[in-house]
This record gives sequence, C-alpha cells and structure tokens, in this order.
Amino acid sequence: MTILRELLTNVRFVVWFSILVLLLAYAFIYPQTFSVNPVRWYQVPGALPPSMNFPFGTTLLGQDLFKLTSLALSNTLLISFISGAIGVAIALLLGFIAAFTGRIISGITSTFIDIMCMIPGIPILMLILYAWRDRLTMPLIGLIFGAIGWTFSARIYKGLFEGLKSRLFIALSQYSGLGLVQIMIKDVMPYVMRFLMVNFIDITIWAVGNEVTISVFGAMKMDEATIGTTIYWALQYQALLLGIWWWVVLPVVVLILAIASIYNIAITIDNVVFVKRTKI
Amino acid sequence: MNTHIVLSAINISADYILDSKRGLYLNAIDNVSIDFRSDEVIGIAGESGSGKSTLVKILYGAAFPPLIIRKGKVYLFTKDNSKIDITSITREELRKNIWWKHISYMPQNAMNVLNPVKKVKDQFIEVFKYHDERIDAKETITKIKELFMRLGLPIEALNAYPHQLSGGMRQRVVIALSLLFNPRIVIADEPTTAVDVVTQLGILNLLKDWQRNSKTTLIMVSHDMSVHAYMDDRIVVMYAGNVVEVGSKNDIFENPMHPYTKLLIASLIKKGEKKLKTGIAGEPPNLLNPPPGCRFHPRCPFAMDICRREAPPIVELSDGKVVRCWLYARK
Amino acid sequence: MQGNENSLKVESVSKYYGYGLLGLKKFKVLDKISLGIPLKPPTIFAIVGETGSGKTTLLRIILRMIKPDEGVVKYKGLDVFKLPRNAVSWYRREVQPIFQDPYESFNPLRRVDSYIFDAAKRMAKVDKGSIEEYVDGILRYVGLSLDRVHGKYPHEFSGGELQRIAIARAIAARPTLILADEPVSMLDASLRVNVLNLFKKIRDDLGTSIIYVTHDLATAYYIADQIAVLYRGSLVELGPIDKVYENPRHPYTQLLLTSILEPDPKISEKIKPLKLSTIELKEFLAQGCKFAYRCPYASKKCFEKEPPNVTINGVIVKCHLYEKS
Repeated sequence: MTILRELLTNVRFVVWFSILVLLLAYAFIYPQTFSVNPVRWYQVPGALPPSMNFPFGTTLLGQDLFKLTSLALSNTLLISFISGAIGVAIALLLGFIAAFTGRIISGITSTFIDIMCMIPGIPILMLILYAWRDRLTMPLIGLIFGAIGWTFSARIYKGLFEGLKSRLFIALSQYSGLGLVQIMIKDVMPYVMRFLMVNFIDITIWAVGNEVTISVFGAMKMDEATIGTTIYWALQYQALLLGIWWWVVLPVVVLILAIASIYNIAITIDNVVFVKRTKI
Repeated sequence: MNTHIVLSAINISADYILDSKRGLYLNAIDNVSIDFRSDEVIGIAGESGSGKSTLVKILYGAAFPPLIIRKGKVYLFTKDNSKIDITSITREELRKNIWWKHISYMPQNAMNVLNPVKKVKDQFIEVFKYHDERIDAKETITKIKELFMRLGLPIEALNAYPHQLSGGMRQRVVIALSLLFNPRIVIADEPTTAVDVVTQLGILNLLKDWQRNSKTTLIMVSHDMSVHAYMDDRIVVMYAGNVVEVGSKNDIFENPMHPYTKLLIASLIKKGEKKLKTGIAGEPPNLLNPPPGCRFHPRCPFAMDICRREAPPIVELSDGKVVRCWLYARK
Repeated sequence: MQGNENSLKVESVSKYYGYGLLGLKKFKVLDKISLGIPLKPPTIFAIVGETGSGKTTLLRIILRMIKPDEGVVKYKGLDVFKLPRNAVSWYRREVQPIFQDPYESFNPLRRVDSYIFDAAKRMAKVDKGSIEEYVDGILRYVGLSLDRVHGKYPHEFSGGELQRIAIARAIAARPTLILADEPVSMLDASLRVNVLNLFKKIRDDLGTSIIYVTHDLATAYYIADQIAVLYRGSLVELGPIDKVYENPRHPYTQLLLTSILEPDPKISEKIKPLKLSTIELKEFLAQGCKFAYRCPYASKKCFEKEPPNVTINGVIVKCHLYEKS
C-alpha cells in the first residue's frame, strides 16, 4: 500500500487531515457531551468576549458560542456531505444514461439535463425550504440540495463518457469478451474515479456556500443551529455594530477551516494517487 | 572537395531532469562530437531512444530545462568567419539572429505548425515581417512567389487555407517557410513520417534539389534508413545516446562496422524480399539506468568482457570514418 | 452458429462522410469495395494504401465499429451487421483486432495482463486451472513471459513490447481471422522484422488468416499472399501478391512500386520524378477515376466515366486502359 505511505509522508496531507479529524470530532463527537441544546437562548450570560470559560465567547442571546458552533458545524457539514453524495450519484447516473443508451433515451436525457442546468437552483431551494421546512430534517435538506446541484456535473460526466466511448481500448475490451457492465467497471470507472472525488468536493463546497446564503436569507430551519443560521441571528441582532465580532467571525473561521481542510485533502490525494502515477 | 566546417559539436553530454529532488536523470546524450560541413547532406540515424532529436535540439540551441547540457559545446561558424557559441548565447539572441537566418529547424509533424485560420500567404508575410520590418507586403509576396517557383511549388497553394491542402503539401509549405532567408544550415527532423510513400518522395526531392542548388548543409534526422539511403552523403548512426558509427552512405550500407549498424542494416526489408530476415533481439536500454560499459552490449553478439565494464573509446579511422566499439580499439 | 463459406466477403461496401455547410455534401471515403479473404487455407491478405485511402475505415467496418452506408460484409456467409445478439459475441471470438498504436489500444489505467486473461477466459473459454499456463504460453510465443508482464501498466513497456502484448491478446482468443491495422508502423525498423515474422508464424502454426493493412509495400510483400490496393476509397488492383508485384497493371500501383524508397544506397539513381497532389478533396469527389488527375495515361474518358473492374490473369484491375472493347 505505497499510496498510503506516500500520503502519510506528505506534510500537507497530514496537517490538513489532522485538522479535519479535529473538526469532525469537534462537530460530531463533542455535541454528544451536551446535556442541554446549545441553541436554547439565555443559557449563559450574554455578549461575553472569548475567555477561559467560554473559548468562543457568548452570543447576545445567551448561547455558548463554542458549543453552538460545534453543533452548527455538524449540521452544515451533514447537509453538505449528503448533498455532495446525492449530487454525484444523480449526475453520474444521468450522464451515463445520456452517453450509453440508444438515440431516443439518450436524447431525452440530454435535453433534460440541459433544461435543468438553465433553471436557477437557489430560488427553488428557497421556495422549497420556506414551504416545507417544518417537515424537513437536516439529512432531507441535504438530499434536496443534492437534487438541485447535480446539473452541471451531469453534463461533464456525459462528455467524459462520450469521449471514452470512442477510444480504441473500449473496442479492445469488447473484443476481449467484456460486456457493457464490465466495461463500465473495469475501463470507465478508473477514469471517472478521479473526477468523482473532485466532483464530490465540488458539490459539497457548493452546498456549504448555498446553505449559508439561504440561511442568511432566513430560508432555513431557523431554530436549528447551522453556520448559516448562526450568522443570520448575529446579523439580525446587529452583532458587528454592537462590537460582538466573535459571534460572526469565529463560526465563519471554523467553516473556512473545514472547507480548506477538505479541499487540501482532495488536492493532495489527487496529486499522490493520480498526477504522480501518470508521469513516469 | 573544398568544404569547411559550418557547425561543430564537441563532447556533448546532456541529461533530462525528471525529478531533481530524487536525483532522477535520463542520460540522453553521452559524449557526442560531430563536425558538420558545408555543401553536404548528413543524416542522423537512430531508433527510439537514440537521442537524435535531443541532439538536434542542442545543435540549434533549443536545449531548455528539463534538458540540460552537462558538458560540451556547439560552435556555429558563419559566412563572415565568426564563431558563435550556441550553447552559451541567450534565447533572445538565438531568436533574433540565429534561428531562421543561420540555422533553420523543421520539427516533426511540421505540417501542423500552420495557423489554421490564416491563409498560407499571410503566414509567410508574418514571418517576413518578424524578421525584416523594412519590406512591404507587395515585395514580400513577390519574394515568396519567387521562392515557391524556385522550389517547384504551385502558386495556388498561397491563397489556400491550411486545411484545404493535403498533408504533403502542407509539409512542403512549411519547408518553404524555413528556407525563406536562405539559411546555411537546415535541420529536417523526420520530415516524412506522417506522409505516404509518394508524397515522401516529393518532399525529399524538394529538399535534395534545394540543397544541391544552394550548396548548403542539410541535416536529415530520421529513423527510416531508406530516407538516409536516398538523401545522405554521410551518415551518423546513434544508439542510446551515443554516436556508434559515422561514415559515408556507401560505407554504412555496404560495409557497416559497428555491430549495431550491421544488425540494423541486415534487418531492413527491401522491396521484393520474401526470405526470412532477423531483427535485433531485445530492446533499447532504459536511459534512466543505462547498462555499464558499452550501451549496446546486452544485445551485441560480439560482446566481450571489456564491453560490459568500460565504455568503448571513439576510434577515428581513415577517410572520416568513426566507430565507437572495442572491436576496433587499438590494444 | 456457423455459416457455410469459409471466407470473409466484403460486397460493394461504401461509406460517405458529409462536409460543407451542415454536412450536406457527401464524399465517399469508401466507394463500392468488394473483396474476399479466404479463411482456409490461412492467408495473409494485405490492404495497401496511402493515408486517406480508406483502409482504416474498411477495417473498422469489418470490426463492426462503423456501419457502412451501402453494401454488406459477410463472415462465413452471415451478414455481420445483422447478427443476432449471441452471434455478436461469437463473431468477436472469431475475429480479433490489432491496432496501430499500442498505447491507444490499452487502457492506461488497467493492468496489461488483465486483457489477456479476459480474452483467454471469456473467448477461448480456458478453465481456471490451466489459465496461467495458457497465458504464459501465449506470451512466450510472442517472445515475452507472464513474469515480465504480470501486474504492469501499459506505460511500463516499450512500443515494441506493448505491440507484442497486443498480438498475444489477439491470439489468446484463438481467432480465425486477425485484423491488423498498420501494426508495425510505430515500431523501430530493427524490431519490425521480428513482429512480421511473428505474423508468418501465426499463419503457419495457428492456421489464422490475417488482414494486414499498411502503406508500406515492402513489408506487404514480405509477408502477404494476396494484396488489394486502395486509392482514395476505390479498390484499384486486387490479386495474388507475386503477380501484382511482378506486373503491376494499374498506373497507381506502378507509381507506388517505383516510389518505394529502399535502404539501398543506389536507390537515388533508380527513382524518377513524379507529380504530386495539391488538393485532396478534388480527387475524392472525382466523377470518373479518382487517380485521373495524376495519371500519366489519363484520357478524357477517365475524368468522366468510372472505370470498370477488369480481370486479367487472376488480377482484378479498375482501369479504363484494360477495358475489353
């Protein structure tokens, strides 16, 4: 497993991977220790700057920002990872159908993909959330994000598959006795693997951005903690004007760290696994 | 024959840097020295990995990283008897004064060099302008038409777009382009690989006629020995980064000395042959880790003990023949 | 699933490509090509032509990678494009390709031996117990071995080795017919002979017929029994190779034979100057004979009327010169 060894000796990978692991522990394990939901208002003295007792300070609404941010991060990440996975799955499936099926079905699928690309996703997201937010859970919201975010990726998969279709080695696989499914797995998937990872990161980060945007517009489940809703409340209560900078800044910093770590991990894996291997 | 040296490569050794951190180098050229004379067609023959393309890059000064020259020099001797060190001058100098004017280089697949959205004549005008701003468009076109007529190319090709011309025609147009300023040295790197047999002949004739009329130096780089048989006066045979033999065309084909040359000539299929021939066993060596001693020894039927230990000396024989082989070294 | 005749027959196959605005104008990449390749006795059949002659297109049609616009390809009497689904896998067992560029033939992300194992298992139906021995045997036949090849990726091999692996893959399927598209043009001259000798061995030892597509007449003569000459999509001469070589009838074949450069130092004295084409498209669209623009014997008839196929002494020539009046 020289790939593993190479990754573990890559400083950049180790640093960012450790940061991500810490953040994930912070987001998903730490909240398990809470006895009370940190979202509840007036739990602690309000508007206190960061200190030993309260590492991130407290919000004007009397919430422990350190605990609040951890829960917020977990929800934001949950929505985003799920949306990434769903988005990639839908894009991959539709791209495959558009490239490998008969003229009629592929034509319909291609047109569908193109139309969906044109429809602006954010207004639809906001509409759906405004209308149904009471009935939705975080994972479901992730699913809906994914169902909106697949469009441009599908076009890329379709292009990738169509390009691969005409390569000689596909013909050689056919003449070596492989059927369509086997060719998908043995020939096409390795090409797609690299892009799958990038695509997943791509949609995930897109979802993070959109979640924050929508929440700042108030279209999220406002009683739940996400990075976006935290910022919403902070802005609603004029946090910056009142000098309570930590309410806005610290959650954002945490979010940026999370995104940066995911991004850097993806880049280093790509470098080690794919780029270096195709050189000499 | 009253010829003089126009270009001289002395003890060139060059590597490709693959990964400087890990110390990965590919030794592409190992101790190569060649003198190029005026009024001759000299061929550089070699198969994959022989280093011939790398060598010509060094000859005309295009040795840029990851290709680095470890040792050796290349000197250009101009008409007015000045000596220029190609290996030391800057890229700007090369571009302004040397390239196209003293030395012209036709890369492999040169037919793809033409700008697809410009008519042929416009591309010629561009090149003229780049090198000599004083000439106006009309004069330029006259000069170009003259050139085409001299080379026997159809004038109608000037008004066409590259994609309208056949591959062979495009290749010839690019050749014309490189002959614009009457350089003394022309390097043609695999000029006929992508074309068919009939067009190949046309292109080679173009080059041959031009060389005969202008009495300049034509350096033919090709892996195809038939091209060398048709074109060259002298042939330099390369293998794995070394020059293994230099001789006149007749010597190389009829009396090859180096074992590689012997086996290579013997493996060539001539027209009308059906009798079984043998090729050379094995593969050219990996230049990341070339074999010790003589680089050909793993495939050589005459390999001796010393061949496996020490690199053979460059033996110069009478009448310009050169062999790099222990079989010919004096004891 | 067997047909009755033991041959591959190409019957009047044509292929058009559109060009110009909206691709409405059509030019014929292949124009009514008819030829027959015997499977028994095993034959090496050379298809010779320049780039743009249509030879690769013809091969791809036989491999069912491209559909012809006119005409039929019959393998053992069965229409190759009308095979029922299970017969397609039968056809793919009978017929195997070798492409020009070995690095394009293999998926760079796949291990090379997986192809041979696939071919052995799924095509030749070799059982699990003997498959390693079988694959090793095939690799030794082409001058390699399983140890040298096992677990490696295409970029780890030289062009010559990789092409031999491609040949090993093809014969691992135990085909009746191998279609080789310029199999040696990307290899060093000193290695070409080895691969060509291998083709001869395959015909003689394994009884496999081979269609050898090339632009190189010298190598065609070296290994082939029969030859078909293509010019701009038309079949101009077809017959046993000795006859065509000794007495080329079609002016284009004559031109080809005199233009071949040989590794012979006296060659420059033997070659005559010739006329070259400037604009190819014109020739593809010619109403009459496509070679008329360059033919030293062309008459008015050649430009207007398509030449007939005339059989002389076992060789078919498509030329007005030989028309029986």
